[in-house]
Amino acid sequence: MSLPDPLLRYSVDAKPVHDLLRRALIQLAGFQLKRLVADRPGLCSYEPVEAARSALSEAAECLRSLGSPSGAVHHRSHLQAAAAALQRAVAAALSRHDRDGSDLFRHLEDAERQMRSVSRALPGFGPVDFGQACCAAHMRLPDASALQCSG
Amino acid sequence: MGDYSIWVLDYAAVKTFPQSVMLYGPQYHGVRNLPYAYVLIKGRGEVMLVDTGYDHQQYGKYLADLYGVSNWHSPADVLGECGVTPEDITHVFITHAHFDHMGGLDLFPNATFYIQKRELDKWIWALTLGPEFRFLVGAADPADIMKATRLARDGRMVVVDGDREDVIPGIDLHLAADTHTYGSMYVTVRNDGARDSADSWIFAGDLIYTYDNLTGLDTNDPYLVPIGLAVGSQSNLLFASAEMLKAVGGDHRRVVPVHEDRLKDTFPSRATANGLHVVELTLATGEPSRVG
Ligand SMILES: [Zn+2]
Repeated sequence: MSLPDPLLRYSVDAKPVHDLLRRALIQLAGFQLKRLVADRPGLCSYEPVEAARSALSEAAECLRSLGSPSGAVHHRSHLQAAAAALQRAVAAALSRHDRDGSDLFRHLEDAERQMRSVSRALPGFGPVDFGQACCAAHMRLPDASALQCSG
Repeated sequence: MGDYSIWVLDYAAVKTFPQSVMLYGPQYHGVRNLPYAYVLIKGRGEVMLVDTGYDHQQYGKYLADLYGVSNWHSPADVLGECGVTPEDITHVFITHAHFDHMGGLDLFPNATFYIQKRELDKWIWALTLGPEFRFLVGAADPADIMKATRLARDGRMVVVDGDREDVIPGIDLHLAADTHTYGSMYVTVRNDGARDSADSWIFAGDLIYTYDNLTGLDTNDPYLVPIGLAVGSQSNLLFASAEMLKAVGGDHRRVVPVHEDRLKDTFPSRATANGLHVVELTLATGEPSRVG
């Protein structure tokens, strides 16, 4: 049995959103990590934060037009929650009141949790895209009956 | 006898790993068993690891399935073979940011971790490139960034910029830039403590996968052969190999590739009940053998 069509369609449309959110999370976590290990954190480039912000606005646009067939509602809600947490993370990264990065970190952890739930809610949404990789040649979409959100 | 006891402990394996990745060139020569392992170094009051393995309970399992990894066992089981617990580990030297070397960042709650600045910078950069560049981050798990960030927040992540001597007495870290990864690091243990040591061991990360990278396949006419997987260059791999060999006085057995299946036949070793191996490279004074 293969995935029912609307769900397959949703998966295809949601993929770019997922990729943008994944990238924003990496960019923001990378920014925080570099700031934490830098000799002079004040000199760290804010380029990754800007890149994350533009990825997030693109993701928000895609999310608005993304359908919500039955079977994908849970997945979509986790995508949305991840996007919201990442927006808060950007705000924290740019805030003067979060010098030690604790707010940023909290929002990143929230986003990470949401992204993990996204991975579990539907197949094909792992943190790494192995779609074309030869080592993933044996990967396939499982039966729709096996789709369950555990997060 | 030296200052440190050293064991190589495998914790999983890929039974059918393409030989062409281990050794550049032989494209049609089939597969080899490729153990996944880390190195335990104990002495002078420290208990240290070279690399962490990965956490099968988390996303590592997904990656591992893709790469065909089997027989994974936890650090508690693996280190237990040498009477050590994950909580005992004081320092971990990360050779590079691949999941099988770095994915266990959160498994050693009392350790301080060391990684090259270049590895961290370029790894983060490569992870943010478009999907068309995903070759550059093959075997990297983005979840490790959050783990590393947590460690940095807790002051347990030390970023090393280039070579560093005596990071722990007798232990040096070396950058091998643009080789297997952008900021691969190898670890030298000068076990007599001497600067110009006659008792050095080198832990090469994935700068070599097998002793064959140091000797070639022609025993009568040895030569260096790079591994088949580099984001940097084959030349850089060869020069790093030559440098490592020089530092151990040409004794290639002392440049240790953790993925080499023949370590267990080269040094005293024993098989564990889990089908893994404890390979004993050297023992410090007073340390009992774990393979006898
Ligand atoms: Zn590697």
